[in-house]
Amino acid sequence: MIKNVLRTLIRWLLPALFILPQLVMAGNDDPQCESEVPLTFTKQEMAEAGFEPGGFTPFFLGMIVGPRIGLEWNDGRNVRTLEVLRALPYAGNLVGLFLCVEALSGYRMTSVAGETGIDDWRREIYFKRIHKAEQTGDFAQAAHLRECSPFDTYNHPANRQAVKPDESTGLAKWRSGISGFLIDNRVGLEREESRGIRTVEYWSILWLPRIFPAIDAAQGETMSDIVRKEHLDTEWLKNDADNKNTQQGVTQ
Amino acid sequence: MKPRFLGRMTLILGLCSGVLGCTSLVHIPNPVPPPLTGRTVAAPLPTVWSASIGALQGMGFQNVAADEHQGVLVTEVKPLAGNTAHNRNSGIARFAVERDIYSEGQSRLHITLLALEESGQTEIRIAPELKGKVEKRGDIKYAPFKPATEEVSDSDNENQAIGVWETLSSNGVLEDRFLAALMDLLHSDNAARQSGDLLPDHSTP
Repeated sequence: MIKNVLRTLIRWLLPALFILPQLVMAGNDDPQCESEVPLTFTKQEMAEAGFEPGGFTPFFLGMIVGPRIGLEWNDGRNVRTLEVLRALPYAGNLVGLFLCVEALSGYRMTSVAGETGIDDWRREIYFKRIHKAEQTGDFAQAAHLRECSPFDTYNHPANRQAVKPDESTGLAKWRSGISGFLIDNRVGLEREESRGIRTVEYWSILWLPRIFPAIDAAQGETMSDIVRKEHLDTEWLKNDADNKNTQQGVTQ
Repeated sequence: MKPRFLGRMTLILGLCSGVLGCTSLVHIPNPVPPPLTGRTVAAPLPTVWSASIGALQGMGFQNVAADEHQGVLVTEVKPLAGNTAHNRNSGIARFAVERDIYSEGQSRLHITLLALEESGQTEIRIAPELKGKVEKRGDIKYAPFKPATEEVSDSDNENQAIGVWETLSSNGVLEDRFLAALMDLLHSDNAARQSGDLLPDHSTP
């Protein structure tokens, strides 16, 4: 009986999981172009660089490799070989342990991305923007782009007040590593550069809820958009404000 | 498959991925393209000379040493305080060097102006001189950042004997800021001149 149910589920549910994102993508042809945000690329720029946002690849990455990896694929950030190896049965756990050591040793996503080359092509596009500004004589814009380079570790988070507090002592120092191991190594690495963790990512520990960010990724949604919408980079600012309010409440 | 075989495979794959990971962490790219070293502007040397001094003063460099024979302007040493994060975001100079924490920083600009006689243009060569005081080498944790502090006075510098001053590479912000200020001044000069030409002369009856 149970076998039959499982067999039916596998027969119908799995193909549906792969076909659904393609169907959803079919109706998603709205052009998205933001000039205000330096790291948001147009579809044309992405296509020129051979990068296709949305569809099967980010969905697969979101489901199998990590919920944030699929969304960041749409941003133009590539996948590391090690991250793909993490999807392997048994050995994947060891790879996961190795990856979470990065977050534990204080590495940040930007420096890891720079060192492993997964940001290379979008860095190239960013460089082109700076050169273009300099060639056209818009030096103020060029200076701004140089100063606010998202590939500079020190620009994360942009708001200096929203920096994660020191977690180098006690159990707190394991938090980024553990979240990286249980959810996605990028969650841990980005937590080190003060980016918060989404509720759906916490639920992703149970594996099946990963389908929600994976579907978002299949629809072409980017991590940078989600960060802005959910204010993930000001997480610690919010936490600090909450603490202050609580303290005031206690004293009153 | 036997559990022992699976265990060995897991160990081998884990070790391989570890080695792969270690070998992949060797490339440290520059977060910004190399800075501009030269630029030609369509204005004669005397105009660019005075505009350059104005631009430097507008950027906060009060003492500018000028060598008119060689066409060189040198600003005074600008001290920056705080750690690297503060220096990088202070708006004066930021350093494109990873993994070093600098408790203090210094910036200075050398600007060479060359007249291109035939075309009435001027070539500008910019050479920034950036230094940082090494406080803690190899610290890759970066956080927690200290809050931005005030500029260190000379007496404070004397008291802080630890640390070594090190020359740093520029990320081009200082150069672009100077060129932006210079172009603004040149454009406003041009605009003033043009509007002056166009204004009717009311002084004569």
